[in-house]
Amino acid sequence: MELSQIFFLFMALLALGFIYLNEKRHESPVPLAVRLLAGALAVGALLGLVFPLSYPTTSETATPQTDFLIFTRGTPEEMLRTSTNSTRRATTDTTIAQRYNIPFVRDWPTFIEHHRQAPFAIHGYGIVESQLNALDGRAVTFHPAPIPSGFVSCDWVPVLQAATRLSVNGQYHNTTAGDVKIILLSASIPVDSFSITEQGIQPFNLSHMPKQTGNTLFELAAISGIDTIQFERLPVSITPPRPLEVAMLAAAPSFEYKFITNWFEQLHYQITSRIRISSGKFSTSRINGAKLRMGDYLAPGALDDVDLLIADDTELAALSSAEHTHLNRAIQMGMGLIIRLNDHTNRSPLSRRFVLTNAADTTQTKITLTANDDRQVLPPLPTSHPLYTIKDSDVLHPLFYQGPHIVAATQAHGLGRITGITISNSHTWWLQNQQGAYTRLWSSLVDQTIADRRAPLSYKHTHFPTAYSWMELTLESSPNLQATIDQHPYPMRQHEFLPSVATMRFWPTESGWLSLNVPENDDSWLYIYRTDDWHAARDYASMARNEYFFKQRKEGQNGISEEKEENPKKPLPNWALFIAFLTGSAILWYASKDYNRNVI
Amino acid sequence: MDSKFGRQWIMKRKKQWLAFQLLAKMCYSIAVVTLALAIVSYAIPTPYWTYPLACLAAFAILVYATGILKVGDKEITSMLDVRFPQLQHSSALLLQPPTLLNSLGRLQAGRLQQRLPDLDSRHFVNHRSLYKPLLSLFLAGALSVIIIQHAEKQENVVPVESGLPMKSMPDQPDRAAALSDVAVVIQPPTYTGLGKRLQNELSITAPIGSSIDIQVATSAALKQVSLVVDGSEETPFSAKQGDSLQWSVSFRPQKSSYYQLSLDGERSALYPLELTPDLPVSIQVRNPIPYTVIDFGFPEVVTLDVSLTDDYGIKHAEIMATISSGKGEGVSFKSQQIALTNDIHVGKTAKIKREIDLKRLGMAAGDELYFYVKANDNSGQESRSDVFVVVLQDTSELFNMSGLVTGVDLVPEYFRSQRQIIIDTEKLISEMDTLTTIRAQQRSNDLGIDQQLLRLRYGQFLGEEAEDAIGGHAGHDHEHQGLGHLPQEELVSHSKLRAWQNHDPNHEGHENHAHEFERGETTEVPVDIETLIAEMSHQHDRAEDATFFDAEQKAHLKATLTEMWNTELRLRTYKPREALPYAYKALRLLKELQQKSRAYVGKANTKTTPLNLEKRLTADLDEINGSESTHDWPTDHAAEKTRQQLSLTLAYLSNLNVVQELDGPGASLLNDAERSIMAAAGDEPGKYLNALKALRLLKDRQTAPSEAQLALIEHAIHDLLETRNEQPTKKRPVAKQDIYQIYFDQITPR
Repeated sequence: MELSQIFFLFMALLALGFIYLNEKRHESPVPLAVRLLAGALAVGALLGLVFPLSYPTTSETATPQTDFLIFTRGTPEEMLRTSTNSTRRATTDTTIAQRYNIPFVRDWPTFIEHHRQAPFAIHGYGIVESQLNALDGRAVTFHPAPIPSGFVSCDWVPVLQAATRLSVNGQYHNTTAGDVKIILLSASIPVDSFSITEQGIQPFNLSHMPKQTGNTLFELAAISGIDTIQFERLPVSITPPRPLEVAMLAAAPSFEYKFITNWFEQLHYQITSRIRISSGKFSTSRINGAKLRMGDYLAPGALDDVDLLIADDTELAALSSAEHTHLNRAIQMGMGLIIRLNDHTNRSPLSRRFVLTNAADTTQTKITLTANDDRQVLPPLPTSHPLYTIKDSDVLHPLFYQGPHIVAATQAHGLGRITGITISNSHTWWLQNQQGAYTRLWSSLVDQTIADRRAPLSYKHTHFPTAYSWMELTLESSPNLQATIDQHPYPMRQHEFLPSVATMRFWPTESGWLSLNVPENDDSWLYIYRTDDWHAARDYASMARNEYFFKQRKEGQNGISEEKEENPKKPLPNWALFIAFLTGSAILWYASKDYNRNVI
Repeated sequence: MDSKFGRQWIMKRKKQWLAFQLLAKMCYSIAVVTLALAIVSYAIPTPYWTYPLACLAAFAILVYATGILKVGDKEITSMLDVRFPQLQHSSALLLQPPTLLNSLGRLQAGRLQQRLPDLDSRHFVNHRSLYKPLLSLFLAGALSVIIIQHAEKQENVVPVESGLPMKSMPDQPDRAAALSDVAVVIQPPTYTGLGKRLQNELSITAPIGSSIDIQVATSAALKQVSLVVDGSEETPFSAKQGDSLQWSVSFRPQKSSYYQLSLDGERSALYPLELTPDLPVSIQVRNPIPYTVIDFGFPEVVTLDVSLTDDYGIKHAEIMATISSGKGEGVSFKSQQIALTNDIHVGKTAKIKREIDLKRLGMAAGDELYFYVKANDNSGQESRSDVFVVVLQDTSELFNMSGLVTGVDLVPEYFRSQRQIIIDTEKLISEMDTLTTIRAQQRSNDLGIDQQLLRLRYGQFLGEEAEDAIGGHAGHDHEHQGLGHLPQEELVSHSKLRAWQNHDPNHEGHENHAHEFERGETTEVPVDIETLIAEMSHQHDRAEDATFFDAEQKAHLKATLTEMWNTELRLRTYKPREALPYAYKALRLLKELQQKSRAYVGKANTKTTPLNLEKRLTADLDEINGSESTHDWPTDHAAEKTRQQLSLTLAYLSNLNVVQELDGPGASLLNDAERSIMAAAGDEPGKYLNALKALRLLKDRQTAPSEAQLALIEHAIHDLLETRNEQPTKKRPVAKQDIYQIYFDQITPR
């Protein structure tokens, strides 16, 4: 009890004492007991205003409750029509509220507080995450709406580097009787398509090599016959290509190195190559302004800025132990190493991580490589040498297969990666005018090996954020607590346990691209969708989130014994206390009229 | 009755008469003027406002000349007296006041006045008097319409001369505001045979070499009008006879491009100027095949079947033939030209079918004819066909042993046998006259048996171990193997023979089909479905595939066996003279087969540096030095920058569909894109000009960008940008320390 409250209590007691003595001294037609009661009422009411009183609620628990119907977007019309005014119902959707004259829930926390004991039955696509979290331990049943037709999910990489393939994967819910064609459009030109011939939720996959640079909107259309059923936009931010710094260590001049060097030159990569031309003699070249100088000896720190090192196993084996230490350190700090594995004997310590075996069929003249990630089969590659294969192990991530055998694989080493490849004549593709296969192989090898030392800004945000709805943004691995969106600063809230994670919420008011700037990071872009974009996907996601939430809660409730909550207390309304005070005071005033008469 | 009544009656008749007369004169004057101006407009453009003026003038002249207005009351009364006998030639009395008349005059006037109401005025003037003028008007109008229509037709075919009326150009949304009329006259080159063409559109498509005359009429007087080609090349229009409303320019474009009209410095929209190229004559030779060998005994004639096509007309065609005779150093060439012009009729296409007699060209056995077809079109462009080779087989060459002596002889006895068969057959033919029929037939049959044995031995190379399948003619492919030309009875007999030879007389049911054979009920096509499937499908256990030969060699060997079979058939049926061509053909095919198994590498002189034996194997590497080089990949920075700008523009345009508002950076990007598209439109106006127009409209911000407009620009830029190959990128960050996040996710209940 605070001092002020003690003071009030003391004053009240004094007032009560005064009233008692005063009323006892005077005579009045109003009986003394009534006057004392009135005085106690007035002082009690006054105390009640200072110390709020509450009383237990028992009215709703007295009788069994029927479900309180909550209609969300997507509730079947049949359900809405059949629900009558007599049933307790409310909606979170303004359209439903207007059309069917159903009360609209403006403030969700107040609403659930008001109907604390009523079990909820949520119909439709469900409620948003913050509303779900506010439900607490309330009894709720979820009645999902039928799955919406159209694009129910779609994923793509929102930030791409130029000359990287855009890959779009998703699911389409086909409710039409016929076929549906999914078309990816770039610059209003169809660039890839996928036919969905069966009904139900069907996966699709589209890809395209973009020609744009910058913030681009690709388009996705679903066409049935000549009718466009759905049309959605895919925002992708395409950044200019960043050249790599590449080093090469070759045991002897070869066409394979020549072609890789030529290709990297065209891509404006900075290349430093050292080719052994005789015992202890090297030919070195620096291309496109490469700063690295590789003499006869790999100096400590020489490879610190190198993104990728391509080396023959024979040449690595010829390095001194000190050079090996430097190389090891560079890889552990994030450099990528591609080793051209070519022999069983005389192997370097790094290449021994790849166990080589002879391919079963050594007589074949052509080999066919299959990519592990997308199962793409590359054109046949003529070979004149026996092919070595890499034995599979737990630490390896296979990249390319020849039949069932691994011919290229990668594994982690510190922060960097080491990739081994046993193919030594991939340049033959280039000679056969199959540059696509060549670039596919080497792009995949290099992509899987190199890493970006300057980590880009990593963030997550609400799926398909739209204008006029809360968007939650979570920055990962960023100690900054200040972000700027479209030049407006927004404070960030640090995570309770993870200091590098910060979240913020903001309310976009218009659709389009918004720049996101976090200190010490490159500018990023967010796209705010229009309210009618990706409806089916958002509804499907909402439904899945609700179903998951209630399923998890049900599993949790089964494990934990139910706690019986006491009857909640309700505070005594102030107006009642005020009236009581007035009543008491009025009685005392009426009685005091006679007092004045006595005093002459 | 009032004495004035008579006068009033006469005045009324006068007015009626005047009205009818004036109406008639008006009709005549309109008729005359319409006809006259229609004739005049045939040569000189006549503005329509001249018509009413001319009509008024003609009417005035007519009225004045006929003196209608001078007709007075007396003349009217005279006319009334003539028309109405009831007036008794005294209607003039009615005009005079009664006071001036004597008593008789007053009496007569009084009588006349009483009669006047009974007179029908229609007898004096009525509508019939207008028949003639109206008929004249109708005729003149009809004639004028015919004349004007004829003149308009002429306008479309004859060149637009100075002063000829120009038709109004159909409304175009983007044409220059000041242009009221446009006429473009395209005069294609004479050799195309196309006539002059007049159009009212400013989009021009013309054959290359055409002369183009653009005539424009402006709605307001201008100081200068010029033609701007490709945005830079400016040619001034010349005003017609000092008139600042009508301008013309003539030019002969050399390449496709686009142009604008500059009216007092203000440039119009862009118009394409596409020149259709004159393609050379397309030559298609259907016969002969590129390499034709005419075997011994076959007609030495080659059938040439050529079709020529040109877009404007073929002028000349000929065969350029070269005959090569002799061998080695003694080879000689003789060239000839065989004109085909007679076979070309007037037109754009020609189909030529001609037989070339090789003997008439002077070819002998062993000679080779190389020829190609050459054709010129009307503009003199020359085109040639591929070279075709026709070889007359030299039988003596087949007996040349040089290849066998020097080369690897795989199966020498087989080749000798085939030659021997030919030698023996020729000997038999030469001795035929001296031999008895039985003896000749016996020798022929013996040769047939030899041929059969040879065929069987060759058949082993194809995996044909039983005779039934030998030669690939086991009742299924005569058409393909060269028996298609044989008469049906020969096929049947061959079938019978083979069937009977391979027959096992002891098998079950032999009796039945022995009768069938006698009845001649054999078939040349496989009847059961399994045989058909076996022929069409790939089978691993086929004897034919179990050989070391590739598909081409097998086909060649099969063809050889077929020819051997043909020889054998004729020898066995005692026709050695007919068998000889087939025997030669079989021998030639065998020789070719033999040659194909060899590889020939020409000798070349080489001069190697002599080895320094003193340094050899000393392991001295002192003189081997490492090298260090530095170089950069040559980059076209301007092209690279343009490419980057275009790719940025493409991305920007994709957003413009949503934003619908052009901003400053966007306008700058569009300026750069405009330059690139303009350059491309210069080369391919048909492809890029619409995009350029759309881009300029967008830049002018006259309207909100439409989807179609943006799509046009996007398509053009998309086409200008080349597709990139995949390129490695840094996709994975190095320092992403997500282990704490993963740990937190694991311990946090969901």
